[in-house]
Amino acid sequence: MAGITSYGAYVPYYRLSRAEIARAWDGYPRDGGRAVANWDEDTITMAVEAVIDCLRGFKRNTVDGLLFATTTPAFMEKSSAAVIAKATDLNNDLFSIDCGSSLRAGTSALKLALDMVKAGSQKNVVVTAADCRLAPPNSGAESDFGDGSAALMVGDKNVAVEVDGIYSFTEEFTDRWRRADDQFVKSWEERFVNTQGYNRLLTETVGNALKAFKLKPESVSKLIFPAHAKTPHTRATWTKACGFKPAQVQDPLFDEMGNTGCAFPLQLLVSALEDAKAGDRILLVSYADGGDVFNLRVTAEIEKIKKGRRGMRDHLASQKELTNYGRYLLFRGLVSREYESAAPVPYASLPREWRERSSIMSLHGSKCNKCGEVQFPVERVCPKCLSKDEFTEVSLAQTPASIYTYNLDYATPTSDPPNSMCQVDFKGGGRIQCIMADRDPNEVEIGMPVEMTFRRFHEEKDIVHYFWKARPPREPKK
Amino acid sequence: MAEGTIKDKVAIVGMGLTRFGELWTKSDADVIIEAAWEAYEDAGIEPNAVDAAFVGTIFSGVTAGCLSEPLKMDLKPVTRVENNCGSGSEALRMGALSIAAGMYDTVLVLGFEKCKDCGFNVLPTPQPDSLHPVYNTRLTGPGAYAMATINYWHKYGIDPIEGKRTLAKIAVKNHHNGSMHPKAHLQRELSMEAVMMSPPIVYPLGLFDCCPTTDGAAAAILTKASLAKNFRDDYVLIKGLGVSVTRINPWNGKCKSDVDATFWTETAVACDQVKAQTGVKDFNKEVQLVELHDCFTITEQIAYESLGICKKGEGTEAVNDGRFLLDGKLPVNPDGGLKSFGHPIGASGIRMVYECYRQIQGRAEKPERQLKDVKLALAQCQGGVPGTFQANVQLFGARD
Repeated sequence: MAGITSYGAYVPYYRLSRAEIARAWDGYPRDGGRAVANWDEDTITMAVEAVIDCLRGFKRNTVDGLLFATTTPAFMEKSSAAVIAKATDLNNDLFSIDCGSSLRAGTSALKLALDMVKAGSQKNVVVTAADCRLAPPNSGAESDFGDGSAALMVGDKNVAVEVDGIYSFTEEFTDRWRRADDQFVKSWEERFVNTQGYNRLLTETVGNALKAFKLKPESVSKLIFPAHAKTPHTRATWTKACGFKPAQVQDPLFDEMGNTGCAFPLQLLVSALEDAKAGDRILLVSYADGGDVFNLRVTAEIEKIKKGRRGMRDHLASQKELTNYGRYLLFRGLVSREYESAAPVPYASLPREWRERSSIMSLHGSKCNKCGEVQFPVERVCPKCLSKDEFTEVSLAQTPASIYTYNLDYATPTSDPPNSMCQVDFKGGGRIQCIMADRDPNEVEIGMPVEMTFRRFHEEKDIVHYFWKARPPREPKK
Repeated sequence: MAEGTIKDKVAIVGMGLTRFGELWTKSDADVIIEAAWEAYEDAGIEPNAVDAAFVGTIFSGVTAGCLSEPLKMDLKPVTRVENNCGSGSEALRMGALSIAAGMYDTVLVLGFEKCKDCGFNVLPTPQPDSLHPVYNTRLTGPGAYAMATINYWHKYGIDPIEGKRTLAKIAVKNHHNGSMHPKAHLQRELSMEAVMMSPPIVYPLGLFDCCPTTDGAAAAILTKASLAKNFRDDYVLIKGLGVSVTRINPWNGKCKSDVDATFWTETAVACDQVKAQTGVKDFNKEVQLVELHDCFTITEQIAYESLGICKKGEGTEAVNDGRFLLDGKLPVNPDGGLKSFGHPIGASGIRMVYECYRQIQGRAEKPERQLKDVKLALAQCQGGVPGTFQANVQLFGARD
């Protein structure tokens, strides 16, 4: 039976406190903070993080489907899913699709994946959702939104979460929207949005679902739904109306992360699964113009996939405070960077990047078949034994690595100064020179362990250039 | 392998050097004309009275026309040479080889760069279309040498504050030397405190660990050694010309894990070539002046060890005992080096030769900076960044 066979998640390194946002605007300080994607992250790079997390311990060549959901795609025309597939080294024998436009896109993609596996057209499908929504500065939504991603693997073997039923309800309701050429998400007045939209629609959708599933609220271990604002009383209204007790409601992580758009329900599912045990029943709800409701049952397989995943827990435990609201504006490109001196323009050539795609996009190096020397990027001549075209490509993207040397550059323009360049030695051979991301400048040192992270490198000639950077492992400090 | 040598086959009979600096009022053509005319006059020849010319520049001129046009070279053979920061040294090497090959009697070699016209306050990057789309983004010269500094300190267990102090002494020395040179970009002394407290550029390098961004040009007239006395009595002989070019390129994202970024291997290899060509065994004992590439203070410290004028890891001690001061056992960068002159890329290699030439002739611009009895002078001009160099090492000597 088709179900969830693995999970992964990603929460950006930086967290901006709502108190700092309030300080910037002389506003009323609120609790908690929101996750903020770094300046070099977008929905593609965040999805790559979640997919890598989800694929830990899985053979990548078994994946034959990739569904990517976002309302904030890097490209309006061009597949983000294809970029994610290349960066995560998936087979080219792959069905891929980009889903979007609705905050339900994450759960819609999950339903599609389950149906595909059930129909037998694909065997192992990765569903990933990411969002990085832009709220108008000094709006409530600026504090409420967060950035992040999640990934789920759907298959029919070793299923960790069985799906006993899916119920979908669609009723057009305009509460939040963004037109094709809008920069920011818009919203109607809060009372209307909450009473006639959120409360009424969720009460109806979940009520219908319970009936369809022949399920009583008390038999649900966890109820997961996307809180669209930090308003506990609003949440209480409809969950109470449906017959749920506060203890059954999954923590919406509003103080840690904020509402992460179409990734939100999937991230909260990952969070719930981290604490779940065999036999738990989970009701997963999404909300936008109605909602999708999933009736899920956890199996004993959950214990196997809990190991070796960072999921939500490790990422939330390794966030760093972004102490300055101005940096957030820089990260999102909301202030001019004209103060930067005119640096030489990096060359942009799609044919060149295409030729070198296995090194640039998949971080492949070459290992000499004769002497075993590993080098990055893929090169035709071995520097050690000079054999030509005698190599095997090796992936370095998830290879443990450490800092050989580094610097902290205060002169080179970056939105996250200082720019730290480093040389990294991979375990088993190979060295790369690259930029560091998500690091505390005071903690960088020779020998420090690092891992590679896929980032939006720069834009030149209207081309988005992606490449890998090094960062300290996103793990909680011991 | 051929055991060729250039020793004593080619002589320098005239040289020219512009004032180095932020030459806002001068064009590429202006600096070329000024350096060339000084060299013509110094050699006592009419303008254009050469058989051929070689010009070294990295980005200020694209074809050999960048030299022949301002100098009105009248359809003579002119070649543009580029080998990164060693472009000027390479122009001189090509000129010397063309004479040694018997092709020409007299040749003009000239290096120049206009760095200040690009609007970017560090060295502009050569030919934008040679840059890789992602690998070299945001790597700067100071950034690369900062990484080597951290590596060097780590390797030899040097405390960062102590390491910074050693580097500061190098800056203070070179500024002291440069303060006496009327053509240097920066002609002022620096205090230890000023260097130590200078604003960070790329940790651990501060502003005064870095050479300035500069415009300038330098030129030399080369001729067959047998013809040199027709020009002047105090001509200077080319003794050895070594060059070694990297096999890797971290600037292009390509790093190799067996590279030791705390030693300038290409420079050491070029030194070996010069020793093989000249029979000189120990620069420390046989050379009286060293001009070396000090784009950053750490570059100079590691160059001491790579040139073999001190042992590996002995750089700190060598700085502290003052052996490389103007009045030390072996003066290094007596003209102030890149620290004082800046680094108009194509010009630097020939600017170093200018100092060797004038010191050997006893014609230092001010008596207080004239060294005694310079018979052999060594110049090292090194392009690239740690792990990927184009290193020129050249030896010049007084006539018998």
